[in-house]
Amino acid sequence: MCDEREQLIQYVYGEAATAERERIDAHLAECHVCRAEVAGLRSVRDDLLAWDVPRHDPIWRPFVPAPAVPVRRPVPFWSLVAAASVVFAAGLAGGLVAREWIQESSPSGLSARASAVPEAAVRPQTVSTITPEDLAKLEAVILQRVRSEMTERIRASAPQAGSTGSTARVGMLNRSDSATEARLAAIEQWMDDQISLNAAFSGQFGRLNSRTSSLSEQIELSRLQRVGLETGAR
Amino acid sequence: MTRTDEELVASAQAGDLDSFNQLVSRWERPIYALAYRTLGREEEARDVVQDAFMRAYRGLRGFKGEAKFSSWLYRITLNLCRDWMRRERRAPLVAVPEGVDPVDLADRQAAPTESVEDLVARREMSKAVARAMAELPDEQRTTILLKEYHGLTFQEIAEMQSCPLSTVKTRLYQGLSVLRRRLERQQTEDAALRRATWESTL
Repeated sequence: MCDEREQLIQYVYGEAATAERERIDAHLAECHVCRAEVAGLRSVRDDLLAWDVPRHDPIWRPFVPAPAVPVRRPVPFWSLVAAASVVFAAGLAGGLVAREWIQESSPSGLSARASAVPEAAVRPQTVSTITPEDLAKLEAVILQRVRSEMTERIRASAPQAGSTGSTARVGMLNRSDSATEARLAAIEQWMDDQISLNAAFSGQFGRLNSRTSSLSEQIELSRLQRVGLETGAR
Repeated sequence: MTRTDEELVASAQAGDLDSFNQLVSRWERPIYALAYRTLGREEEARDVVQDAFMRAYRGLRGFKGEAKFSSWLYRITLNLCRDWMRRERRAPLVAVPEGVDPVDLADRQAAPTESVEDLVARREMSKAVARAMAELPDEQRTTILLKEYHGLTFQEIAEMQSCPLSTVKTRLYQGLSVLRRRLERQQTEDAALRRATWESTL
């Protein structure tokens, strides 16, 4: 029995079967060597409990499900044609009215009016004449394009996008295998992006947090040791 | 109602991100504890935790549930720790400022049962255990970590380490015996040091 270390370890961790436990109990009652061995193992297990782990902030940034973007219905061609016609007609009418107004307000006609305008005002725009308003418009246009491209990408990769409308569901069913594969690839890419972002954020903030908490601990330890020494000296 | 790991894994495998988030929040702390106690370094332990969950997410479809989800996570974590130590050619950190959180200390100080001296002694013991554990062979240290701090059964550890059941018990026995001797020696040295410090202040 004294050489049966495996049985002793099982006994110490409470994983020995009932018959085995009873056998070891009977042996320990008689053998002071094994009794001391078991007491020593239990004692070191108690010591192990002292090994704390520092507290830490959450490490993993939870996944955020992709936003469900409502699928836009495609605009029929005839409505585009109709809209273009309306715009064209409005422009034509406006042009005719303006021509009549210019002719009425200046007896010498359009050419005379044009010659009265300062030269700088009719000079074609160059880079040097771009105003802040122009830049703001340009920025708005670029933003609009970027936003629409992002929306398209999210719509293409969002897992729930297909469940937002019956049109989309039918569309999903009619898609070929290659389209489905492309869609799955887009979703995988989107997941990878999330994971990379997660890693980048947590890596940076984690380092900062652990550095701060490590410093706090060292300060706290110094304080406690000082207090402990002072108390001991008293 | 709390969902089991198996239920959450099944949902996560079907694409439910929130289920995976729940699994992470459930297991992040134990995984961090395992990585921290294996490496002895906070920053690296955080990196390992991050990496372990990434790998778990990527490999979730291949997880068939032969072992428990937690055992699978532990295995991933230990592999990452081992890779890190091999890559960096570094052993677990010995002189790490081990210990408890200042908030914990403040809480315990408020408790009438534990004096400041007890807290300092406990802190010293924590460091001594970390030091003694760091000097153990990898297999013995890992076995003790899994058994003592994570409550795995001998059988689970044997499966995780791909070794016979008897080997696990031997590693545990030998590791604990070495720890016991080292901690006893350490306690004797600490007591002598405290006595010398106390005498010098008189």
